[in-house]
Amino acid sequence: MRYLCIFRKTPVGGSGARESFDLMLTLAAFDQEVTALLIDDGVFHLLPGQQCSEEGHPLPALWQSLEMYGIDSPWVERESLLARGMNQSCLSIPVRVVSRDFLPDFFAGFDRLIGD
Amino acid sequence: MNEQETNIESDGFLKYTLQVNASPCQGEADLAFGFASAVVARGHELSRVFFYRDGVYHALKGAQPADPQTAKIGRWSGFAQSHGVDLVVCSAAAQRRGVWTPEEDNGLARGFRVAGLALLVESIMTTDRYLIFG
Repeated sequence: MRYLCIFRKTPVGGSGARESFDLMLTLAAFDQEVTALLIDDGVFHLLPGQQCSEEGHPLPALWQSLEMYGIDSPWVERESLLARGMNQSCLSIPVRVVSRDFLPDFFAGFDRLIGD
Repeated sequence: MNEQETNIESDGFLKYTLQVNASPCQGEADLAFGFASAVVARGHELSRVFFYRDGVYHALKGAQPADPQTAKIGRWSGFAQSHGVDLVVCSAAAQRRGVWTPEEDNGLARGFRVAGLALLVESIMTTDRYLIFG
């Protein structure tokens, strides 16, 4: 089954972001096909230089270790980046970019969508 | 809330997994309970409700929500007893919020038990519908 984990919120402010991330890693640990999409404020997950470590296990570092869990580079929505004055080259890890117009088709490529 | 199509059984009845991320005081918690009740009332199978993130506060024993009209904690316990639904609280999320500690294993409201995310993933993989509230 193909899963799309969607991150729409900032990585700071509570443990919610970390818990969404944990679910994504657990799915991957069960050999499920997992893809991540960052949209809206979720794109801030990949802003370099963050110091939002929680319980000594910072999310920015976890994003850099996706490959270890068998998860490919995340997708990022182009319009969300532009609206926040960001672009693909200023992110902490390599990403793939998808435009808003294409999202309905993009979603259709997955069996289950999991929001944060 | 998310829902995706999977194979629909020929008799039209589906197996559901619900995930509740909302705390008992949030509107989505009411939505989750209403939906769970409707699933069972329509004859579908609700095998498990997984309480994650702030949803783990549902299992806080002795909590007294301000609104006396809706016993937002007790209703899930009663629901589990009536319909045989497995109420599972995420161990890590519950521990993080002080709802549960491994040392004090009997501290949850009636009908709730503790398990890890692996159990949620197993449910997601084996049910027709998976919905997230909150």
